[in-house]
Amino acid sequence: MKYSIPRYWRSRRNLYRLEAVKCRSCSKINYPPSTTCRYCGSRDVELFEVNGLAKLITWTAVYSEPEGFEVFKPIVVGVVEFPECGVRVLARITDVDLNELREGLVLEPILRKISEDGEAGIIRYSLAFRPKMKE
Amino acid sequence: MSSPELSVGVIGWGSYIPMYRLLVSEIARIWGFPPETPKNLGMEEKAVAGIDEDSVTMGYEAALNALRRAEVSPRDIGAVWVGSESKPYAVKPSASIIAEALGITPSTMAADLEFACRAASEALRISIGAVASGLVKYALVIGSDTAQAEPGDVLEFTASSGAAAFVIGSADNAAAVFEASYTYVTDTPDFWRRDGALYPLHTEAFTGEPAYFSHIVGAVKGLFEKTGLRPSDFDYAVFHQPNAVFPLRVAAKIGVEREKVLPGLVVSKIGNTYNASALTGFSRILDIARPGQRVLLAPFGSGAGSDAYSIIVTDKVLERRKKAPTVDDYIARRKVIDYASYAKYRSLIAKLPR
Ligand SMILES: [Zn+2]
Repeated sequence: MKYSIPRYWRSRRNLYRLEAVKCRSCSKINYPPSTTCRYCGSRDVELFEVNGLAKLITWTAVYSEPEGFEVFKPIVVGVVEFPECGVRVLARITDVDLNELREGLVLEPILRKISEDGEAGIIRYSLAFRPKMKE
Repeated sequence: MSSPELSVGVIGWGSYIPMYRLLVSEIARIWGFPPETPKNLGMEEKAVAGIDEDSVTMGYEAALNALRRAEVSPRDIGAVWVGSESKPYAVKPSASIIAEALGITPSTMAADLEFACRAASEALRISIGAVASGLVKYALVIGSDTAQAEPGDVLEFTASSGAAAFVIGSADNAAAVFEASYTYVTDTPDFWRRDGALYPLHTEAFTGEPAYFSHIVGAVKGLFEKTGLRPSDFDYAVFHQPNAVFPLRVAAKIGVEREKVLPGLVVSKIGNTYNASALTGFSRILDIARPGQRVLLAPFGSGAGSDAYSIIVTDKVLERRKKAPTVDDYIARRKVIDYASYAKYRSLIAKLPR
């Protein structure tokens, strides 16, 4: 067992859900969430859940993977933006072929397995993004 | 006659089917089956979960869709019950991971249930009791499986991946109301997987008559006797779908017309999703049914048992079906893969020690 369990446990909320804060003084969005607005210093901030659709800004494919990620490669990692609140996150892109990736691709957040600590250790889950389904 | 079922219904329903498909002709090619073998099961292709998916991630997405349709706050969910026979952890609940990710924790009950393919249906019956008694306002029931089959076993033509979820709550706000339910259980060893074994074993001739057919018929007859309902009272019938042949055969035994079974019969396109099998068929009925229509639902699990439900669709179904992807949306999202990709995605390749 190589993963730090306390670290995974402390970060699970950030891995499973996407939260940001809105400053009540200057109206700016702070991501990652913090108790003090990084634009105006106000402590009057409100936590909210970021959801809906996002857009792909840029991406790369990772072939030399960290331990525990072997079976998932190539690992597509992208910067995605939620247009409504402007929040940008770095995240795994999944259910996609490399040749389908393009700027502005509409994505939706879903939960996926991110890595495994061998056969017996912890499984880490996190939000990832996949192309929006046709309905 | 007042029964607890009448005060309880389905507030929201949700599906999930992974995008990858393996053609049954590809399985037959690899293992040297005659082409008739999958044809006799009525199978075309099956859904395969991707390398980063398991019963937790699939159950999460089905539950998210159910919550979108229900439009209830995650904080009001008082129980999360997951039925699965393919848990990522042998010990550690899937229910707590899904509950945490959906924002339902910490004020909730949560547990995984096991009864082969009908554990999630047992969870439905439990949730009827929990909601009717006032113990919880809403319960979240999830059936999710990445079904295992030994490579080369005939089971490989059908064993697939998928999830279905339901928010169960008061009948006042329901898209479909329970009318009655009945469960029929015996000790029948037709299919099992021992602790630590990678793949299940099954008794070829035994899975049909004494297991699937006698338990579903037993449950449905029990429901009919309890309620006085007859096959002609139902607009749709959904049975557990281990292949595309058994559900039509059990319908004939019960006296339900084939036309009432076909709309909920999804196995030939996605395979047997085990705990999500009959429940995905039922979700598809909720995607298409008209208010006032009555549905017969009868899941089955090896070991063995079956539940029969009579469910009446309400006018709330119309608005709610638009709020999340339908079963057909997921069936249409499809990418065919070869057997080698399937073997990698489903960990059929023995890896060298790292
Ligand atoms: Zn500010």
